[in-house]
Amino acid sequence: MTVTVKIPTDLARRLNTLVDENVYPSREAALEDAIRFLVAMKGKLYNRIEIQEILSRHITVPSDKILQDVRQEEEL
Amino acid sequence: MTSVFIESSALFRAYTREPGSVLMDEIFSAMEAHRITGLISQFSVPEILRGIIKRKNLRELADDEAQKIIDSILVDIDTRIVNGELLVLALGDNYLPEVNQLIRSSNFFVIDAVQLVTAYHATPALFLHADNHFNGRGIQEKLVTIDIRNPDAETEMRKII
Repeated sequence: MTVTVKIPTDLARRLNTLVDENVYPSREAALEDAIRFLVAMKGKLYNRIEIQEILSRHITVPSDKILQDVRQEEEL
Repeated sequence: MTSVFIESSALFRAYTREPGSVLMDEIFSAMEAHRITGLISQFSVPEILRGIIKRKNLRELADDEAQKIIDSILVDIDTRIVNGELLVLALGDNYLPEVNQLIRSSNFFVIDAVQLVTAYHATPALFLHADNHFNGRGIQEKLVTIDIRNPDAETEMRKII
């Protein structure tokens, strides 16, 4: 079975730039992300201000405390 | 162009509303206008994502909401990289002795030491953070640090940028 995914030109250009800048190790890895982004975009992603609103509404702990917990967890 | 190193704790506040978030809004606006270039460690974004997943595990966020927020942050960061606003800096093999030395001498967490050494080598105009670990005197000899939570942080930043 073959699966064909049509990637918008603009997204392909952006992903190629990310590959060229070594953000992705390979074009296959970039393609995996492209598919994930396409699926995510269908559900409309949040912009930065919307992320701020949602995280502030749900998370009550200061972000430096969250990161400190992550760092301590990594050391256990 | 002036470069500013954005440590994980400062980067996280660009995506939350806490003391220091308004300053990060200004930094991001300056990046979008190509007045400054933001620098981050390759480990900063994974650290923030882990923080969000941890809050999801504690049921502060629904699973689908946490995943959507993570996708949104990744796309926002990637867009800024593509637009030349943000550079992701890798840990060079030759930085490791300095990282080890910093952990031995200053009791830093691994990620703190990695970010500091990465910043030393990038020689940014400013090192922005929201973490008390970076307020030590030893660091300020090598980098101009600003704790974005401080009320006078904006004034300090304007003196340099």
